[in-house]
Amino acid sequence: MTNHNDHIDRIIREKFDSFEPTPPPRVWQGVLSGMETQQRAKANRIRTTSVLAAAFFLILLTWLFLIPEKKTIFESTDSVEYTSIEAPEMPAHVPTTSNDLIAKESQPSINQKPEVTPPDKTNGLNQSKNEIVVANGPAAFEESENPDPIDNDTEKQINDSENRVFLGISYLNFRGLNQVNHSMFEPFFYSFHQSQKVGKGGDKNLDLVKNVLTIKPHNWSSFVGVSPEFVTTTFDSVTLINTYSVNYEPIFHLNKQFFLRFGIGVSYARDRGFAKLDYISNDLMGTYNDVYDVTFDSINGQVVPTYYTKTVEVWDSIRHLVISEVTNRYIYVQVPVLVGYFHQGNHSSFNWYLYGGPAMNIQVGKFIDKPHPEEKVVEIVNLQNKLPVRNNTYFQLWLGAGIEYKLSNQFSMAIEPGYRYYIHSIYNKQGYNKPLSAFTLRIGAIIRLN
Amino acid sequence: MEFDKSFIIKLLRNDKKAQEAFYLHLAPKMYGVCLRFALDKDDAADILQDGFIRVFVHLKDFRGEGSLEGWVRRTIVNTAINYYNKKIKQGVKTDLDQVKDTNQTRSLVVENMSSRELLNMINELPDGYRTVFNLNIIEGYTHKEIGEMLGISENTSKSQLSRARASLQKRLKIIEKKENL
Repeated sequence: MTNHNDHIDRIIREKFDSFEPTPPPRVWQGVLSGMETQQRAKANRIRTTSVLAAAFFLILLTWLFLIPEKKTIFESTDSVEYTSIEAPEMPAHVPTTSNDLIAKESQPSINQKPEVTPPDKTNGLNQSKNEIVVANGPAAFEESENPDPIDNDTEKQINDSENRVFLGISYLNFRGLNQVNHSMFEPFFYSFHQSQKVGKGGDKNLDLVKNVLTIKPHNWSSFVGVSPEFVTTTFDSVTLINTYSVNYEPIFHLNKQFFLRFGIGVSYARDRGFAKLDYISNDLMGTYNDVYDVTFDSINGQVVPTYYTKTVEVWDSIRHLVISEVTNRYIYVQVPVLVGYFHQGNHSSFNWYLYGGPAMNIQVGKFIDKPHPEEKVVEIVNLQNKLPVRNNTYFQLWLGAGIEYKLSNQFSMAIEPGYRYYIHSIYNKQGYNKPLSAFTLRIGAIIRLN
Repeated sequence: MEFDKSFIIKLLRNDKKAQEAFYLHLAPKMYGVCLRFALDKDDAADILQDGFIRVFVHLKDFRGEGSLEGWVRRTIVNTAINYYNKKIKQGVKTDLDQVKDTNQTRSLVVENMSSRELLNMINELPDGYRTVFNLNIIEGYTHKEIGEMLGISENTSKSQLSRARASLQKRLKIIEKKENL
């Protein structure tokens, strides 16, 4: 029985081994379409990841450069603490007590060397957590027994000194002297130095705090602007309509002359072309009067027929071949990385600068026009969209110059004529794969952060 | 047609011409496989389409162990099984019935049948029977493998095959009788 089954099985296998029917043609089209969908999905994933990575990178860079470099050293023992902060020098003044400190910016123009009072280690130092002696410089310190953070707008004149020091810190909190809890939430853009002795009313219980805080200044600004882009390269049967973009670009000034500029932008691009549409519609060809009844009447001995008619519409399937205008729309995210040279005018509000570098364009939106005839009920026989579809990503080389007009120390208007060279074509279609050239005129504002 | 390394690299690089040549070479054979698993031609075409998309997308996973055609065939069969699991899983998980094989030998009838007639006969089998029959008899999977693929027990697989055989022999007997008339 088993042998017999095996025999039949073998016959069946042999028959199917040579069984190779032809699949319907739609299968290969479906495979191509499915592959394209898969690749598009993959490209979308890559694009999304790239954009997120770029955004993360920008945020990280911005964070690293905007938050001032700080070096805080606490030398704290049970008996001695000494605080030293770089700051404009202030005259010595009478010690005061404090547990929480807040210092705020007031006179950054003061430029005197600090007079450092060394910690008095011979003065019977004890663990007095609530006492601070400010030995150098009348800082705007707030004294409090409360270890909780204090609001940042508080200022206090100390020890009858007319001078005040306001540090560029929005929130600086020292909690206790033996267990110093230092918090700082906003950057400040200049350095100061100050020495402090901590004590209580000048009595013998004196704790010293050493706190070295070094903040390096960074010159940051940001460009925010809009720009139209005029592509000068032309293609047959394709019109590249002006691209508009909005950009935000932080600028890091490496020194007085050179700067690094990067950012993110969104551009809106449109291409116009033609599509060939072949379709069949059911059209009204005309009407005629159909006689559906005849009556005969006798008038003066003569028979007169009366015809009753109705209007009949004649419809027919008509094949149309039309050329239709189509416009494809795209949204790209732009990530430029630029290096530039800045020239500051001596006695003028005008400055100028040059910049250049690559910019990556990542497609995040695509709206492909699908032409449709005016008739509602049609059978599309063939649709050939002659307008090529843009690539998902492309690189440009940006070269530009800018003129800046300073409205204030923090705010400037800028106009930047520029040239953009597309490193490779925006289309991946034969006959359309030449690189493009374009001109831009960026208009925007430069905001200085320090 | 031999698929050498350079050809596979072309496929991996999404070379459309290579992909089309590859498809044209293997599609008829694989369509035959699909027709045996599917309910009708449309379903078979869908399985073939999905299967080849899988093949092209996952070709990078082909390790070069065994023939590429064998790997494609397994991928197509797996696609058919997935299709089967989605659409016609109901009714497969039945317990083993002690189906006694008849001693009627119909080998001559089978030999005289064309592939298309044989296919039609197999396609008339209930879904579960047909799938197990295809996997075991034609594709050569063991009952253990079939059980894992379909999520059924090994015994259930054997049961389905026995029923499939019995059903086929019944049909062959009818055909034999008609031919003798």
